[in-house]
Amino acid sequence: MENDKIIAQLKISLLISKSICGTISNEEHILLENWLQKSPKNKILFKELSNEIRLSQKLNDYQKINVQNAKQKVLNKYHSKKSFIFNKKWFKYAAFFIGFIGLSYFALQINTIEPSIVINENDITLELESGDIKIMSKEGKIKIVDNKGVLQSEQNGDRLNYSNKNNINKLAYNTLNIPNGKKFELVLSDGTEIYLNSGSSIKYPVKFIKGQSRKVFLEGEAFFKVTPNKFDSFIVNSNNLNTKVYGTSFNITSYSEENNTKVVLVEGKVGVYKNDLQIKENSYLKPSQMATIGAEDTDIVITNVDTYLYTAWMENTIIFKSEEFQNLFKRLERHFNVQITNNYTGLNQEKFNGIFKEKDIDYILNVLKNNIAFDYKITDNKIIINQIKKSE
Amino acid sequence: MQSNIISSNTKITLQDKAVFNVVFKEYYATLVLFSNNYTYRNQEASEDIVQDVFVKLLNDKREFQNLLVLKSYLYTSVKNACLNYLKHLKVKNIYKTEEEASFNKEGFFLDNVLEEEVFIHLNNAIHQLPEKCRQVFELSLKGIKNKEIATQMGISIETVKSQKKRGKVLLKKLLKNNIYIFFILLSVI
Repeated sequence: MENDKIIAQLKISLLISKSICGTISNEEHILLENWLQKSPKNKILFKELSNEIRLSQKLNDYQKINVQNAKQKVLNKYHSKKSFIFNKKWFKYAAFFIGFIGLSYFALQINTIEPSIVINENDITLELESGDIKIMSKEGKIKIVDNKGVLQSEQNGDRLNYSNKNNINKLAYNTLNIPNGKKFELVLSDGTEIYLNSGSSIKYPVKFIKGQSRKVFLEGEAFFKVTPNKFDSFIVNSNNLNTKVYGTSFNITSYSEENNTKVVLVEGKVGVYKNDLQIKENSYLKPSQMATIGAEDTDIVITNVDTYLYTAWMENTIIFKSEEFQNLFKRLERHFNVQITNNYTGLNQEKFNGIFKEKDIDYILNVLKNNIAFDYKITDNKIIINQIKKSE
Repeated sequence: MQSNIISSNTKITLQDKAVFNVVFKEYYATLVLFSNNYTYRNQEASEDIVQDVFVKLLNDKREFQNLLVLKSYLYTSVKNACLNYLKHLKVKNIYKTEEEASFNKEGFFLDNVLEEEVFIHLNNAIHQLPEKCRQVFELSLKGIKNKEIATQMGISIETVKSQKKRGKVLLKKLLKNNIYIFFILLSVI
């Protein structure tokens, strides 16, 4: 009902604006005249709208509004609300592996070129071989070409794809950085799909060269679905640990603030070996096994695990299983892109269990403090944790 | 007249990036000015209201039969959001409450829709004119006489007259195509 009335107004408005500009046709004039005769109110309205002062005021008002700015705000609000929905297809694939990496690898990452564009710390960025940095905006569609104009990759929102036919035959690397609170999908030149978690970075060849092993460097956490290739093996280097993949899919985590590297295999077969050792020293993992190596350790320890604990992040689920608070809050920092300051050091060694599916940080902290009481205060993206003061 | 276009079968949704870009560019400022009629010209509040309506529309993934239905939905949503905003305004006085009673009336709403629609047509059309032509036309719409426009712009009266003539011809085309332009844009992308 109201809709029809509004639409009638929309139609008549065009006639009025034409009349104001003096561009109304005879036919249209008759239509407008009919409308004006319908009610005295319409005549008053028409007169008001034709008022020059009103018009110039309106044209001024229009100029005062920054539409571009507002659009950005709307998109930001929309994206912050939109929770990440993980594509189910990832779970179909055979094998996963997860690793946690020590501090030393991070040092290598810092030595990057000074960017010439303004980069927000919340931006997903792509560093090209040339040192140029591109921002992968949420809605962005960018084509990356090399200096000869050859297409390397195409971005479409949350996904960057290198699997196109081009004649590149030189090894050149790109590095993708995913900030805290964001996730991203990458398709390499061989069709290998990589799903990156928050706070991660990965270095990889723009194009894999035939006859050479396919080697990528990861810091952070990622899920891989590797395209099988009997001749060119796929190797993920994460700190002091290499993971050799035998044509399956897997998942890696390797964060600088974690002091060890962990590899968890869900299905399929992967081999892990240390950087300074030959491949014969590697260890093969069976499904549901985890390989752990500390930053200072010399031996790789293999244990049986529940793989869901290490892959639930892809469903936007956070799981803690007897996890110490000092590790747990680092995970929350990455996941929610927040900074947590813990002034209650007694809490650090306390262990927590919990599963949180698509919950916000406030909810999670509230649940945790029901187990062991503490105070927390959230201001924007900063969180301060304090011991509860005794009232007596 | 326009019925063939209005009854077009292509469903539109703001989820489509191209549609969103066009609709936002075309309608954001208009809706803010429309909202100003309710918020006592509190532009900041109006902008917040309109932005939230767009965010909600994006989240709802709603589909619309055509542009007119989408437009009318936008106006209704902004109106409702404005009334809601007023309800939650902490500071109130009697004068305001009386005025607010009129805000709820359909007539007030429809008048405002008409007003904003007229101005969006004019604003859009004028901004598509060539620069000089636009300046002449804007001044003339403000009621300034040819002679004065000529001195203001440092051009001859003849030029003012010819620019006005040219502007009229162009505006005729622009206004005629106003609604159509939108659909051409949508079908191209």
